[in-house]
Amino acid sequence: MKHIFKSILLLTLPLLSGCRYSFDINDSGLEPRICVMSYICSGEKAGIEIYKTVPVYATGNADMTLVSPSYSLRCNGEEVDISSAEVPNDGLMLNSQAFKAGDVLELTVGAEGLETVTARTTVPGSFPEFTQTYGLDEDGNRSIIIEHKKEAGSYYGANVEYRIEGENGVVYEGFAFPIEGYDEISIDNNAYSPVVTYINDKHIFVWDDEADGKYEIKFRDNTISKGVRKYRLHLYKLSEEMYRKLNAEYDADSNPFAGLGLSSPSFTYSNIDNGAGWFCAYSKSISDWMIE
Amino acid sequence: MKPLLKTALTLILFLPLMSGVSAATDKLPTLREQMKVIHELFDVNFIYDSSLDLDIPYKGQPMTGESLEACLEALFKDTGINYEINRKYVVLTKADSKKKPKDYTILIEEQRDTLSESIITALIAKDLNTTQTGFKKIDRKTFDSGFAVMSSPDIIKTIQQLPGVASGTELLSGMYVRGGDGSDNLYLLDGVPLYQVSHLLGLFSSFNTDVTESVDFYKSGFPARYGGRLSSVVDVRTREGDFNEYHGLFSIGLLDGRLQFEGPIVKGKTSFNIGLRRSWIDVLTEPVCLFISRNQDRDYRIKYAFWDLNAGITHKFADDNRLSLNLYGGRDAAKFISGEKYTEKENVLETVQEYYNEAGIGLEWGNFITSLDWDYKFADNHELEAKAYFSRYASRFSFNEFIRQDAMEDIRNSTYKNGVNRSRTSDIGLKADFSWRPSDRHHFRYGTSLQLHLYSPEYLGENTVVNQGDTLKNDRFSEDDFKKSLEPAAYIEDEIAIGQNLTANLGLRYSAIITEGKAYHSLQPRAALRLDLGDYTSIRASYSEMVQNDHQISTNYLALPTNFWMPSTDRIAPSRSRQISAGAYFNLPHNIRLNVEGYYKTMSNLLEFKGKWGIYPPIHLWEKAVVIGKGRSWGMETELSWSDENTSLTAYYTLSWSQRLFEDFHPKWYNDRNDNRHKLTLTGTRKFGKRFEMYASWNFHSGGWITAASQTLAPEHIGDSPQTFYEKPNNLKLPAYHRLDVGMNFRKTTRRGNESIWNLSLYNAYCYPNTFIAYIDQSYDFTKENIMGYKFVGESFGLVPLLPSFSYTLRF
Repeated sequence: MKHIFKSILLLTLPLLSGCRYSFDINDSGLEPRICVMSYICSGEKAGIEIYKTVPVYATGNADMTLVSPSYSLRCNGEEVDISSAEVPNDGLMLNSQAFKAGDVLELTVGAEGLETVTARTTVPGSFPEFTQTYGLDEDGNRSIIIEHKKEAGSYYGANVEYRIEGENGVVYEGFAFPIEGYDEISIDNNAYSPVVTYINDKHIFVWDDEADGKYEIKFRDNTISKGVRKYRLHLYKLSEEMYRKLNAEYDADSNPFAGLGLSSPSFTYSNIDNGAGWFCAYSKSISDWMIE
Repeated sequence: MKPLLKTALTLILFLPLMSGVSAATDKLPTLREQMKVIHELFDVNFIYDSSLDLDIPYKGQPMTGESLEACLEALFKDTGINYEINRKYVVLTKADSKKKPKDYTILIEEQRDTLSESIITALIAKDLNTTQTGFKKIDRKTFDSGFAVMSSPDIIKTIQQLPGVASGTELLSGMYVRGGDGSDNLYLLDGVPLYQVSHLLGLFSSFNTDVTESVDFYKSGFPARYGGRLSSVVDVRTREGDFNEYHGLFSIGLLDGRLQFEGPIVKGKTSFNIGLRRSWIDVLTEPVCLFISRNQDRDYRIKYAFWDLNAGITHKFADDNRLSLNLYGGRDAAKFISGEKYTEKENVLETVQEYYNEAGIGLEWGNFITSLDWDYKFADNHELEAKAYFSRYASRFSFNEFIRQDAMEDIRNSTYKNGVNRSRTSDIGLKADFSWRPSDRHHFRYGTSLQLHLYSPEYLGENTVVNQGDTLKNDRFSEDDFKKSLEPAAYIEDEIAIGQNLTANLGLRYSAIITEGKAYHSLQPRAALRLDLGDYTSIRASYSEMVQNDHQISTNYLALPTNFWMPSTDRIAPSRSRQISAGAYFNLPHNIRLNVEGYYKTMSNLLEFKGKWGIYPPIHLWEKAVVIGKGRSWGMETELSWSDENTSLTAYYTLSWSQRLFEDFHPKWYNDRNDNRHKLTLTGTRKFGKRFEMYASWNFHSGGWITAASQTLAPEHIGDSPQTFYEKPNNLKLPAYHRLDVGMNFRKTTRRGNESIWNLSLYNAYCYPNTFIAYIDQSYDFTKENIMGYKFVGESFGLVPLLPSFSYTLRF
């Protein structure tokens, strides 16, 4: 009997073991690329960052310099004047005029030894007319229901700014967090892609026209300060490229299978042809303050 | 005496036929029926190519000759069929062909148990002569002598070895056929669709080979009688029980035990066949857990088991009229229970409070199928196979928690909470398939079917009972979601012999799906051509369109039982594939076979999950949680084999490309994750006498792809994380996959005449850790040589480096 138990144990041990090993990642045909990073805001001067990126395995003394860079930006088919300035990491910042709703922007960037990249985006119009309804439940959770005109093929975003005017004259300001916190987001079943991500480190809720012109933002106000509480919305209309980019960014952070090759590649969106990064646009507006 | 007896038998057996001929001249006996008579008279079996038409009327004179040769001469005169007597077998060939069915000796050996019933033996190696491209017939012989991971032969693992089939993640029963996504394979068990085909997350498939007669596997050139999935058809047929004798097998292996038994209920009329498998891992894990937890306040119990049961009863009202009732049930159940006991003392009152917490989670999944089949022959050339069936796939995730607090002597508080998340997909179907041979040049198949799909993708229930002293509080919550769809289909196909060397299979299938407020209709043309170039070479080509009306929804690629099926809706249209395939097939001298086949396939309306949720897909949002895209694949597949009486060698090679276009993810085509550029499988079996045989199989394929951030910028400040970027999906190539499986069978005949087989197998014999999951590891590296301050390394995690297995099987 003792021998039988030992034999079974010996035979089953391999089943319970696993094995981890490192492998080369440099045979996937990866090449250095031109990387573009740009969120263009309607009505504001545009800034476009350009870098050279290297494949992740190319650590060591990788040369990150863009050699003989060339660039062009066209707006509705017309060449636009741009100036450039150096930024850290051997990158370049391209600056240009402000653009307005409906402008179609086409960017081309090249550099010696790197494939030329192209990208395109359309500057969206302003956020449609809307109404906002503020709510507070028994548990102290807050919500704002935004009802707006539905526009086919449009993408929206919003975040909530708070302001607390204390009795002693101290004012607290900041941006509210989603109700469940960033890591555990409450999904709103009425909205398509109820993504909560962030622009410039501020959480943003994004949705598209499939939300039927109605979106509810659920958020929490972590401050314990007493005083008059006010909330207002920062509202965004997003280009399709920006909407997809924000979705992808959120997916990369929140999908537990993402980094393991076990889920759909929903987090990879880039609209830079032959390169990396993003080139997209948005418009923003601010609502009136709502007093609690 | 013998000639007299034969003459008497001839008269007795032929009289009814002869009288039938004279009474009804429109019902002449067929060649097949006459062959049965010859079998009875001379105890010979017929070996023939399945393309031979034996259902043509026999117009010759009644056979009165006394010799076998004379009977055969009379029977096949002017029929275009040649015969050759080989001891107890008669080999039939086309008169214009010098080619003989090559595998007949093997076939006869394999069929030895059923010769008395089957009377006429058909050549099983049908794929040699089929008109279709991309077809493979797998018979019992393959399972009896072939590769057996964990001691049980496995249909899916056998198919995974074939060219054009990618196996996906190591060990799982993934099947990605010619660029398919794994949810697009039509699994049929006796003609009934099966939704979930794996046990133990894929270590075993749901098909029990002990009761399997054959498997027809199609990856292109789909006949019109099949439909409902895009990429492949796996048509598994179980065996009828023996109508005359009882026999079966018993097998015990490393992880499971099997029992199969068959025989007559009413001799010659009614038979049964039953096969049962059960794993016995739980027999090991439970005592081990109890032993570990002994004398401890904390205990764990881990339990996993699967079982499946195939049972069938067949009744013959007549040779041309039979009724079968088939049943399949299979289930996997995993449970993890953790209990903890602890004591708290309150110093002031010196009271003692004892707590006991127990928490458990369970996961169950499985299929249940039942079908009633009626096979009826209207006339010699016209048959019906009618079927009514019910198929259900269900999975269930449950949890429970029990907390007991023994505070004072008389006060006992307890809380019991349990919850369940259940998903079900059920089909109720009716099918009628007809086969009609109006002449020796046409073989029509036509039929219709109606399926009612019932989807209950999520049932949520929670129950809480709180007992606080005398007070009992009970809260319940439950929620269900239910959808249904109706899927009618009809088809017609004709296998046409155009001249001596050209055969065509032309067909058209109509199917529709009617769901809430929406109906989709589709016509799917199918065509296959075969041109024989002499006796040893043929070329074939096919075009087929397939439509898939329902979709599997999953949040990940792990093929977990938490996935569910949903119908097409007004937002999600049915998926469609179009495939063109062509090849050349050579039967060369010295038993060498060479097939070369190429294909190009497109797929539309494929779904991918957006990937924001956990393991369970969001039921209310499923339509919005998926994106729609396209797929395309092309490649070339080569099969080379050689065999003699004792040795068989096979090489399969695939060169293929598989791509996807989901514009929500990336604006251009990108590699599919199972885009394995090269795939090579080498197998060999060798018999050493009658008692010992060995087999080995080496599998290689180029690595699959995962998505990883592939570009980086140096961090702005030392210590900061470098910013990384994705270029495109599936951009990182995994290491190549390869493994060697070896095994051996020791056969022995027991004193009672039964056959006993010891099987020893090694899966992944040289212990190569093929990738189960992989990722990019990012770590600090502040060496002088590394200005980035970081290094990125690919990490592969392999499971189960080596799987030894054994089994003992007794056939009785």
